Amino acid sequence: MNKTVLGMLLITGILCIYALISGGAPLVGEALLVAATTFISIIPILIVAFLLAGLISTLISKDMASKWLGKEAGWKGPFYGALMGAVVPGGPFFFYPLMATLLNSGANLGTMLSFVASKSLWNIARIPIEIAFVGIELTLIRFLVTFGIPVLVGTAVNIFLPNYTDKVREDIMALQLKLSKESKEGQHD
Amino acid sequence: MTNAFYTLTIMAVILFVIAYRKNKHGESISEARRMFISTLPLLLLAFTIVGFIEVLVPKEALQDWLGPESGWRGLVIGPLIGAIVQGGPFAFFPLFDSIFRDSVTIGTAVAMISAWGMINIGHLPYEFAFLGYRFVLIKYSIYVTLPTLAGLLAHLIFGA
Repeated sequence: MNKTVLGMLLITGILCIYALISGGAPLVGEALLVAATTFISIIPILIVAFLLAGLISTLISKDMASKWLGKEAGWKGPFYGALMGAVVPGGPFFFYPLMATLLNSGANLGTMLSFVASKSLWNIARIPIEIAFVGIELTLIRFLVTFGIPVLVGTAVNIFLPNYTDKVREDIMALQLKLSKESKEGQHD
Repeated sequence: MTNAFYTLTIMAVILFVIAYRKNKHGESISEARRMFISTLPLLLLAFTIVGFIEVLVPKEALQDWLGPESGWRGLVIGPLIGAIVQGGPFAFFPLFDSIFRDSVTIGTAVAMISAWGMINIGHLPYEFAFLGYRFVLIKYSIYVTLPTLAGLLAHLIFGA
């Protein structure tokens, strides 16, 4: 049992107790039902997403990641990262593991922050839904005002916090090492 | 959701063909299987946490906090609400439409929508699990003020 799983279990426990106090067992049931329905409805996309993640991690070479999203990309890196965020679909269960894979393959931290900002601000799959419910005028204003954020944030991080890419990479490797150790131990039981 | 499924499927098929040509398809599938099995416990916990946040957030009460008269507070409370409301675009935008759209200013709306995507607390379980605490610290220390600034900018330019 690693710290991440333990921490998440702890948070789940606290939320569960809070739900018990404020709404009793029915509210806890409702929360679990919401979680289960979301999970079940997302299983097909989850399978495809992981297949895609597996393909990306075996196909993407260190050279490619570094050329487009890493050191070699220079000032263009955040721009490519933001473009990627605009076109890549899928929820957080997909794009955070993808970011970990890309970082390990050589992408810069700033470029990945461009990606994740653009994922929410520029994403072409999301904008039609936004227009449908929020209206075209407000969506346009929102898009114009936040347009510069992805590239600016990534560029600033690449310039001012260059050492943090390696530190975050260390964290990711430590997290993955723990996970793979556990699944191996699990198989031996 | 459906669009995402089709797009991801098309991408997966294209990459699978490329992998097959390079004779790396077997390796890719076992890598996918390994990633899925090792992250499944984290995913199940993350979904559970997000489910609890979803039912614990009092959506209708949030409306009382905001309104045209909330003024500057709207630029701070708006993003806070955006950050705690859970669900993908098909959950958030209809909710925004029914509860907030007609009662908030342009600045508050922009700040809330930006915050929902950029600093959503439902992303934290995934970020901690896959990228680690230093990523979370850096991301949130930079991102936390951006929705408010975007809202302020929208208010200054477009909010007459």
